[in-house]
Amino acid sequence: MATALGMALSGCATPPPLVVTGVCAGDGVEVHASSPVGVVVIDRSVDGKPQPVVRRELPSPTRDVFLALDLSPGPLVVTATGEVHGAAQVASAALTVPANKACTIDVQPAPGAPWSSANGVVHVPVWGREATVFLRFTAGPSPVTVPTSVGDVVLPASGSRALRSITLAQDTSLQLGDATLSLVLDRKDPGAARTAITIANPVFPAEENGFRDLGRPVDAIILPSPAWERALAWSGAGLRVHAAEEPWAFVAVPVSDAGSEPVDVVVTATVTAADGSPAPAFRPRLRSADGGTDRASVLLRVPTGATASAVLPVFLDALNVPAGEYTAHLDVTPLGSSDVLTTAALPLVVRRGNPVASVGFLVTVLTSIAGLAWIGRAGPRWLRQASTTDLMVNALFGTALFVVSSATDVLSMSVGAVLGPFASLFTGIVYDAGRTVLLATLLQLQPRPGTLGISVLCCWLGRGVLTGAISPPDLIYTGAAIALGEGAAWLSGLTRGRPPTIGRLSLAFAASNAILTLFGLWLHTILYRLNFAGWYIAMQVVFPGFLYVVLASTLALPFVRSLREVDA
Amino acid sequence: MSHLIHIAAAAYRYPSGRCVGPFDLDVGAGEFVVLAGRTGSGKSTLARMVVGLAQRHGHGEVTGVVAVAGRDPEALSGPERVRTLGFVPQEVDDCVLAGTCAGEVAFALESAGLAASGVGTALDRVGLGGFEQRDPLDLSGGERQRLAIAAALAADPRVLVLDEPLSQLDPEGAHAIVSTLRQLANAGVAVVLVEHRLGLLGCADRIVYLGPAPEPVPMFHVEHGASGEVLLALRGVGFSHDGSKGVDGLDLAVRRGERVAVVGGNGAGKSTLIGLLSGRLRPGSGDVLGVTRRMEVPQNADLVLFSATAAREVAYAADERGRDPNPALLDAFGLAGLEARAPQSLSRGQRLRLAVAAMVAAEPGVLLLDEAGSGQDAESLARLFQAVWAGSETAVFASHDPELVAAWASRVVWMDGGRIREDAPVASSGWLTARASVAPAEVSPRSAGEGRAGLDARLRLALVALLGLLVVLVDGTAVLGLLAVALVGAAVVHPKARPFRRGLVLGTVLVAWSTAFSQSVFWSDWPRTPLLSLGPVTFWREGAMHGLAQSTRFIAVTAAGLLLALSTPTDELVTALRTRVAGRGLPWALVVMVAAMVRFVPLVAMEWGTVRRARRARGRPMWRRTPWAWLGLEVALLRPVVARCVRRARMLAESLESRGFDPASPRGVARPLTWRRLDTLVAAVAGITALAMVTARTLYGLYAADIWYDADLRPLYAYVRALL
Repeated sequence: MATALGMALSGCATPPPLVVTGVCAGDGVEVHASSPVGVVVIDRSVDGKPQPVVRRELPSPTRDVFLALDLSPGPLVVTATGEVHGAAQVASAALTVPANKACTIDVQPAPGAPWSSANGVVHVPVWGREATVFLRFTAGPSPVTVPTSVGDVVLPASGSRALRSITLAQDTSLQLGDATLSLVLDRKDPGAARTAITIANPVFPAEENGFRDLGRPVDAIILPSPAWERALAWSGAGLRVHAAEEPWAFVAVPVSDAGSEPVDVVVTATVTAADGSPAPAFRPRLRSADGGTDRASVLLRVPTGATASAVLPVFLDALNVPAGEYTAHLDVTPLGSSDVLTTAALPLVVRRGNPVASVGFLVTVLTSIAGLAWIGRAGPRWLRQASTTDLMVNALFGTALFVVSSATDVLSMSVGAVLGPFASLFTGIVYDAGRTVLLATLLQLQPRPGTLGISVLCCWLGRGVLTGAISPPDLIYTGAAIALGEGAAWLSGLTRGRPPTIGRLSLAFAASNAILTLFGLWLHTILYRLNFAGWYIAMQVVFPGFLYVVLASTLALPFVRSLREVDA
Repeated sequence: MSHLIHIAAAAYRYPSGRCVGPFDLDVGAGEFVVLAGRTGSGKSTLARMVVGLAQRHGHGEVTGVVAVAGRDPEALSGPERVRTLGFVPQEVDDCVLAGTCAGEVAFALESAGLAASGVGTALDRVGLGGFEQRDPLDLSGGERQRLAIAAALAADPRVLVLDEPLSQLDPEGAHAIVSTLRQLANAGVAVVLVEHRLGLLGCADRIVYLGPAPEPVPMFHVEHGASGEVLLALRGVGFSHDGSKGVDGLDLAVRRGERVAVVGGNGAGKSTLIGLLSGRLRPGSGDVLGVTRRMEVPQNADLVLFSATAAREVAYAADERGRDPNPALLDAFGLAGLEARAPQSLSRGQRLRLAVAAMVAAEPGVLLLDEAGSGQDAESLARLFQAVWAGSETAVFASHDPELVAAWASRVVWMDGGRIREDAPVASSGWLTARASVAPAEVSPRSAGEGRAGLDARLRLALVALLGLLVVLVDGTAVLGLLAVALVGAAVVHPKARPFRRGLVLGTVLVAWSTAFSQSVFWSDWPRTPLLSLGPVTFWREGAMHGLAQSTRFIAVTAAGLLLALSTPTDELVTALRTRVAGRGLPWALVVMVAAMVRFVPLVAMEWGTVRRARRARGRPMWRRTPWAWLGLEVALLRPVVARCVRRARMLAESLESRGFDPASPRGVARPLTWRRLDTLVAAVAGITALAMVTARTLYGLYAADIWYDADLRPLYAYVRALL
């Protein structure tokens, strides 16, 4: 509402005039406009006639433009064209390049947060006993050597630069060529600053503008597995694959100043591993002053009684960073000093996807699809060819399987409350023995391909009706069980007319069950976000998955034989 | 008179070489014929030959001529079969497929391609009007027999064959059924009834004896002297199956030396009383006091047989006690010569006698027999009870048979409507007096079934499947937690969950706890804080919290499924599976398999429990065995369950085929589901919600996997990260 009103009012009022100023700086001219301008032209006045020196059409309107050009002494005219409240305006300004401007001297750091200076006097804030000041010399149109009280500064070519640092413990006057520069120390109270400067809650991960990166989780840096990253990088499929020089994210560090004057600070971030050493994977890839170091830093002016946020890049070598706990140390130091005013530690947790589980999940899904496709093709034929008795026998074995598995589920819950992950070592005996005996018996009664698959399918559907277990994970598991069960039974010969032996039963049921156990754990890992230790997976596959079934096969064989007498 | 059934020199040779027949029999339209004879005379075999089951399913060989309506019954197609023949098998408990009485009766109509309008008529004929929505498993044995008759009558067959349909009926119910059969015969149906209780069949046109006509078996009354010591007592005991049926306020004391007969009509509570006395059922109220070992032979005696041979079955109890087995016991029960046979390979009567013998061998303090005499001819019955009384001092048996009660009981407990109506010595039993002049009684219908309420079953299935998908996609712990709590809460307060409400809550807690427990061990991620270290195993706090959060997925999905199962009749769910979508659907045969599987889960679960109890009653405690022996015995206990599954499957298959089922032929849906406007609305809302969530989660997933990012979608990313 307020914006609309402002726009309406400004539309009715006379737009303010466009004002342009030009300043010689270094090897060019800095142009400042009161409103964004799109075209800037600099003319040199020769014999009272303007001769164009440089014309720049800016890609997007801006207020401040630097145009590099030969600063030959003489008058220049800067003309800028822009829009003010929708109306095109042109403004001009005149400036003169001094004839004897052989060298420009800046006191650094100045551009970001200029110190107060007047009449050759620069006030240098000092937070400790000493302060360090940098002097930047820039040659004019010709090579020049500047005699100074800190030694001669040789500028060998037009526009060349030199930097000198001076450590100050007291007010100092410097002779710089013909000029005199007075550096007056403005002593600050570090104690008061330490009290006044505080870091609020850092925001991580943040966007470049300091706002929270909404898409990433806040508690950890969760990365896909390195294999996935490499696959994306190799294929170019990922549209957001990061370049090595691009920050992975940013951390926004809100710095508050409760003191009576604004403070210029440097906010530095250094990431260390759990042992305190700098983490190589988080090493910044900057070309600035921090380049090649383990830290990233930014300058920040914190206004009085306000909070300003420093946005620091966080680099991450996503391919090589190991999962683990890291810490980002955030230090705030006053500009020109190494005294730390305040510090904060931001825990960074790196978690990585498990490529084995991902691939395993993929294999499980593919196996499941194969199983479902097979039963979709062979199942109807089996059903058409089966007698009603065969159908009912198969169904009632499904009933028995359901009862055994449900009883084991109840048992598992109780035992699991005490033994946790080791419960299956006990309950698996009952479950695997019962299941193997039932399936082996069924296969003896109906020894042909499709028997196990139809039984598994019927069990799944029946379970769905009885307990609603019809979710996608159940379907995936069922498909995999069909594929493995039928495949193993065929390989062992049990569905090809071979008589049952312990070896064949073990091959048919133990091998498939071991793989199915592994598939089940992968499904749980991916779909239910559960973690399983490597030793646990091995334990599950070897004991309940394989050995218990081999054991059950030895029990199943005499059972099957005795049941044949009943069937006859 | 034209013969609807024509049998000439028909015989059946079993695989063992035994042969029954040859038989000659002609039955005309409107004739009511009773087949009688001793056990093993071939009555049931002849009945199965008439309906073609012996030809299709028997392992033996049929010779001679069997024709029904001028055709070979084996060659009839499914629809022809169901319109020509109705068959009521001997063990009707094994032949019930549907989840409701209406569904059961409609099965034959579907085979014949008829509408479901005949369901009510068929149920009314057998006195089950108003039972349409009742679960057959909730019916008494006698009521289930009536249901089986109704199912056989549904398609108005021209020939009706019934194999001992009165065995579990009380005299009033039996008279009602016999009257119905007479009426059917009067209407032109040829009725063939296999039965032992000939006293009930005065209205039959003919009684055909297979083999010599039985001579009267002398029933002698045994005087019993009760010592006065109470071995077993009920005090104010009540029991309810699911809040709708059971017994209440039972006070009863069984003294040493007593022979107590529990009598009463179908559904009066006889089996429940036997179950409470044996400890098989836990009372809902009151106390059961027992100072002696109780052993029960259930209606289905197969469930107490688990040994490899008959001899080992009887010797099991003695072996467990380190004693020598009694070699004369098998002979006493008429089982001599069968020592090496597998129990499950014996005939039904032999299995029953073996079960009783095995129990007697264990020297029970009180022996409990539930309908132990059903299906036995008079001679077998007399032999059985003589052996029982010789081996067990105190016994309680449930029976419908006044002659049996008068001959063998010292006291009669008359159950009626779940209460003890009379508890008197046999000499002064009002029940026996009343049986002397039984008149056919109308069976009054109980509560009428409820119509369909709520959402369509197909939609319910789809919603649960959708929930399963969303639960996988969603990561927001708060959303998952709320969902889990809401669904578990809804399941807990559901009326049908009352019997296992505490178990449901406890199960939920256990799942959450055990998942947290396991994950605390597996946690290898960062950050991690040790919670406890036990040797090499460290429990991590973050893992425990992670497990607790992730368990909500299981809980939510399981609770939703449970809610579906509780709130939706099984028949509707099965019908939902049958319904074709876009011209495609599951094969009928598979759906019938699923229905059968679902139907028998409670029975198989109960039977497994019965087998285990029988073993426990006759043997040593499990903890006194080696683990290997324990495992072997556990597996051995599966034998009777599996054997029963196989036998039941054969019975069920025969029943289904006699009702016109053919795996390769299409079937109609007599009672289709109806999709209503509410279903459309819910489906639309659920579909749109799910689509939105899946889309949002997919976009976020692409972003998180560094595949695709759009700055304009930042609010969506924020939403997904915060909630999903």
